[in-house]
This record gives sequence, C-alpha cells and structure tokens, in this order.
Amino acid sequence: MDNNKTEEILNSLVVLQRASAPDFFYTRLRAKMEKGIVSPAQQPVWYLRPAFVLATLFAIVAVNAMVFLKNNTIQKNTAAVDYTDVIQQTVASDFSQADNNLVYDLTMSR
Amino acid sequence: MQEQELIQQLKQGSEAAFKTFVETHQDRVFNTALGIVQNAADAEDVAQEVFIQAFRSIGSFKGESKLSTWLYRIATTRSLDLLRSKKSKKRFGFLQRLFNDQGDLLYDPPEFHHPGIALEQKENAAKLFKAIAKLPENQKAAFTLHKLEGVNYQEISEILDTTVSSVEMLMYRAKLNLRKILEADGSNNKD
Repeated sequence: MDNNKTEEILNSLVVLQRASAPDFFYTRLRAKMEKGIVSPAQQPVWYLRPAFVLATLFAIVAVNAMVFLKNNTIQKNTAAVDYTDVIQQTVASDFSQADNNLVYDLTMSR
Repeated sequence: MQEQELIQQLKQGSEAAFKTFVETHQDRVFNTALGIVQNAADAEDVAQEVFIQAFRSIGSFKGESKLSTWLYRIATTRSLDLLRSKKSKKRFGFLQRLFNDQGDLLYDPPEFHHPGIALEQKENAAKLFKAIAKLPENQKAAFTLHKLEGVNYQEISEILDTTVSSVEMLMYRAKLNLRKILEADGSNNKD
C-alpha cells in the first residue's frame, strides 16, 4: 500500500458525524433498571470468579487435610502412650499384690 | 438547567433530572462505546450500563471534573471491559467449535461501518476501524475519543487518568501502529 493511500485511510474519520443512540434509548434503559437486569460486565461479582472459587476450595480442602492429619498423629501418639501405661500399671499392680501374705495364703490353701 | 443543579437533583433521585441527564449525554456515550466496541448492539448495552452505573454512583461524584468527562471515563472503561470479556471468550472458542458447526464465524466480527461516515469514505473508514481494533487498549481509547468525539488532549488525560504528555505519546504511537497495520494489511491483500 502506498503512503498516499495509507494517509487517505487515516484521514477518513475527519468528516464524521456523531452516531445517535437508538430510538427509545431512555425507555429501554428505564425498563432495564426496573427489571434489575445487570450484565456480568457491569458488576463483576468477584466472589464468583473462577480464580477466587478455586482458591477458596483449595484452602478449605487444605485446612481439612491438615486438621485430619494432625488429629490422626495425635491419636496414634496417645494410643501408643496409653498402651504402654496400661502394661506398666498392670505389671506394677500384679507385683504389688504378690506380697508375702499372698504367697503364704496360697501355700496354706494347697 | 445548570450542571451543578442537575447533579444536585440527580443526587436527590429526581427522575426528571435523570431523564434530562440521559437525553443530554446518550449520543456522546453511545458514540464513544460504538467507536471502541464497533458493534451497535454491544454499544447500546454498554451505554445503558454507563447510565445505570452513573445513576448508582452519582452520590460519590465530587464534581472535580465535568459530568461529560466522568461519563467518558465510565464509557471507556465499560467498553474496554466488554472487549476483554469477548477476547477471553474467544480464547475458549475452540471448545465451542466442538459443539457448534458455525465454528470460526462465531466470534469473527463483520466489517464495521460507523453510521456517521460519509458514503465516499465508508470503505476507507471500515479499513481504519479494523486497524483501530488491533491497537492496544490505551491507544485505542485515546484515538477513539480524539477522532470520533473530538475530545481534546487535556480532557483525554483526565478521562484516562494520565498526563497530557502521555496522551500525546499515546496518540503518536497509535498513528504509528495504525500506519504499520494498514501497510501490512495492504501488502497482504496484494498477495
């Protein structure tokens, strides 16, 4: 394309009349306002944006997973400690009961 | 009615004032949106949204700029938002093509003819609008406001919230880019 043609195209808007809004623009606008029709572009609902929804879901899942794993670990540790304690207590009580009188009583009863 | 008086009445929720406000500025807003989105139906939607937003937020309008400047700013932002949303839909166009036989035609806009262009300039103007559509957002907004609405650089700087020298630079780059695009399109058409 030669320079003259390019310039001609660039200057094609020099004589331009302003476009008029369509007829009954105000009537349609009032109708839209009364119906409460709001396009997504007009009021961006930020909390429905995919990025926000995904991030929220991820956060919820992550928190749940962390709580679940933490609880599991605590339960395991608690269970292990309790078991050891029970054995120790049982053995201790058995030995504490095995005093001289008990042995004597057992011998006498035979 | 004076602008300050109109603003006062709009803030009080006067319906008559709102009608006057819309009728005074509707062509300005529609023409700005039309220049940017290059589609009459979309431009009407944008213009309606501009007035709805203006109606809702007139309470926060401090009167530091003219009403027209404020409306230009909303119209430009809304129009660019619409283009952005269309662009993001276009990115996923290949998925829609799987379900739609029309395929490529779905988002390829037809040649745009501005209703205010003289008949003998229609062809050239259509080429220019096609090139304008390819400009970066700020250049597109500045060029459209200046060429279609005759807004001066000072007001464009207020609309785009920048300095006059930045607007001058935007216009310079816009013209440079348009020339490149037109020359590239011209050589492509020859091939």
